[in-house]
Order: sequence, then structure tokens, then C-alpha cells
Amino acid sequence: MNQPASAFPQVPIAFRPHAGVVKTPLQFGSNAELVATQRTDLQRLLQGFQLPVGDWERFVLGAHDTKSTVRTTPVHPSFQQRVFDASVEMKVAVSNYAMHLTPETRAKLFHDLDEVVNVEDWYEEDALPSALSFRDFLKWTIFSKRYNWLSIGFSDEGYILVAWKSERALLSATFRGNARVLWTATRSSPEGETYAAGESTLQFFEREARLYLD
Amino acid sequence: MAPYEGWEKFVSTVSANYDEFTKIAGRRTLTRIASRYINRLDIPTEELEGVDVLQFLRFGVAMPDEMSKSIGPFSVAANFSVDEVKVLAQCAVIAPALLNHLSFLFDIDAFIDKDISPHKDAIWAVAERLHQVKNHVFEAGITDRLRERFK
Repeated sequence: MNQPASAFPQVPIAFRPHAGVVKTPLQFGSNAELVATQRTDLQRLLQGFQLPVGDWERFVLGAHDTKSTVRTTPVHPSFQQRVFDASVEMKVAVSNYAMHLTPETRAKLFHDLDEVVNVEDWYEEDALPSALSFRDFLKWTIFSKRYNWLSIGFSDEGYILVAWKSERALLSATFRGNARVLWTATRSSPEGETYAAGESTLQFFEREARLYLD
Repeated sequence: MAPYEGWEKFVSTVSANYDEFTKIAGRRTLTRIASRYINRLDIPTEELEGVDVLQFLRFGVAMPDEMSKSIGPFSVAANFSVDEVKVLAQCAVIAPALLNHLSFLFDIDAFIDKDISPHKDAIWAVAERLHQVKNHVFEAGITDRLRERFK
């Protein structure tokens, strides 16, 4: 059954005949195992850039043999390891957007992550930072071109909290990792302070932010 | 980790790593040398709207107009060879990395898997050749319109 037209962006592609199809694909030496491996890689990329999450590690046995035996053994990462992994996962996310970020912004992100996500300031019962939430923050930052956040933090649920400040307003947001943002704003004026709050899509939040920060 | 800072720097790191590896594991028989680049191309949806995707990418799927005049997510993989170098090229629409953009994957794996000399100089000469083939496939696979976006 066809998907509804709104389900995905429509990309028209013109038809053109194939130049030629080889009769023996294996003449290229790509065996099924290789293609299967690369298919798996592709599948991973198709899943919204999720890194494999799990508590498995690979050990190589018999390294001096001509053929190595690889077995999978369960490993339970320590608290320190889990905090470190969460931090690395977010830095890898930054690297996925490296071409859209200046070296200064990347350095600021890494610095802020190291300040906030570390074993000293984290408790075992805390939810680890959500990489999806962090990716939403990166997407929004690139979309809005607002690289001047005041500070970042993480909520009890692991969502990233971000604050921006302008001459007349303070804006804070919780990126929930579902392409939506919870935000609050405090605006100062001669008549006193006004408060506002809302929940919106990432795109709509960019328009809201202009009201308070520009 | 990205950002990719160019082939020269990359291959110098790989070469140093390989030297470390051989110190520990010794010189092993090589069965495959590959240079694989997984490119993600982010194109604003407003630029794609109502426009033939072939104006950006020259490697994709072919579909007759009688079937449909538009297409959603797709993936395609093809094996071919360029001057004795084997190539597995894959192209797909993937989850958009940016807001109001469409992301395309253009994955190029250039490799050789037979008659590989174990000599160090020969290995890096092959790597250089693979890099050239990868560049050739990438440049042939995109249009000037997309190339302009990298500047």
C-alpha cells in the first residue's frame, strides 16, 4: 500500500535506462558477507544516527593464529564508564554536525559537556543524558544560528536544559528529544517583568526565541 | 572523529597506527585494502521541492514516470570497478540530520582484495590509488549544483 504523501518529502527523480548490468556480480569480489556487513552499517545510519547501545564487548582470541576467533562476552560497564560513554556519545553527535559548526563552537560544546557530564557531579541514580535530546539541541542551534547560549545542564530525566540571555530577557528551554521543546521566558520592561512558557516544535521555538533574544 | 581534515593528515595517522599494529601483531597477510567514505549530504528541502533530485545527485534509483512522479526514501547499492579497483557504492535517503533539510547518504567503498603486496610502500601506494578512485566516483556522482553547496 502506498504511504500517504505527507509521510515523507517528495523527491521527483527522472527515469533513465541503466547503462549496463553485469551478469556475474561476484566478478567484483564482493561476497555476500561483505555486502551484509555494509548493509548493517547502512541500516544503522538509517536509524537516525543511533549508536549501538549495549553492554557487549568483543574479545579476540588466538591473536597469533592466522585466523582469529572472535567471541562475544557480556560486560557490565561501571558507573564511571556509563557516564564517560554518555559524554562520548554526545561528542560523537557533535562530530556528525562538525561541518556546520565552527571550531570555536565545537570547542565550546566539548568544554560545556566536560563541565556538566562528569563522574564528580553525577550520581548513580541520575538518568544519563539523552543523546536524542542533545541532537535536537544541536539541530536547533544550527537552524537558529544561535551559538551564544549562556549555560547548559541536564534535567532529572536526562533532557538537556539550555539558557540564553539578552538585554531584556532570559530564555530557557528543555529539549525533549522528540523534536519538541518546553520553554520559559522572563522579559523585563519598565512596567515590570512578564513571564511566558510554552511547548512547541523546534521550528516554532526558533520564532519564539527571536521575540526574546533579538 | 569528524571533522575530516583531509587525506594527507588522515593517511599519515593511519600509517602511524599501522606501524604500531605491526609492532604488536607482526606483518600479516593482507587480504583487503579499502578506503571507505560515508558522506552525508544535507540539502535544504526548499531547494529540493519540485526539483529533480538528479540536479544534485547523479547516482540513485531510476523510476518511470508512469509508476510515480515522485519518490520517498530509497536506498541503492551497486558494485562496479574502476581501473582494477573494486567499488561498492551506496546511496540512500536517511533520517534528516538538520531541520528543514533532506539528508542523503553517499557511501563509497573502494577496495582491492587480491594480489596485495605486503611491502609498506606498496600498501600506501595502493591506498593512494583507492583515494583517487573514491574521489573519481564521488565527483562523478554529484552535480555542479551540489558541488556549489560545499564552497
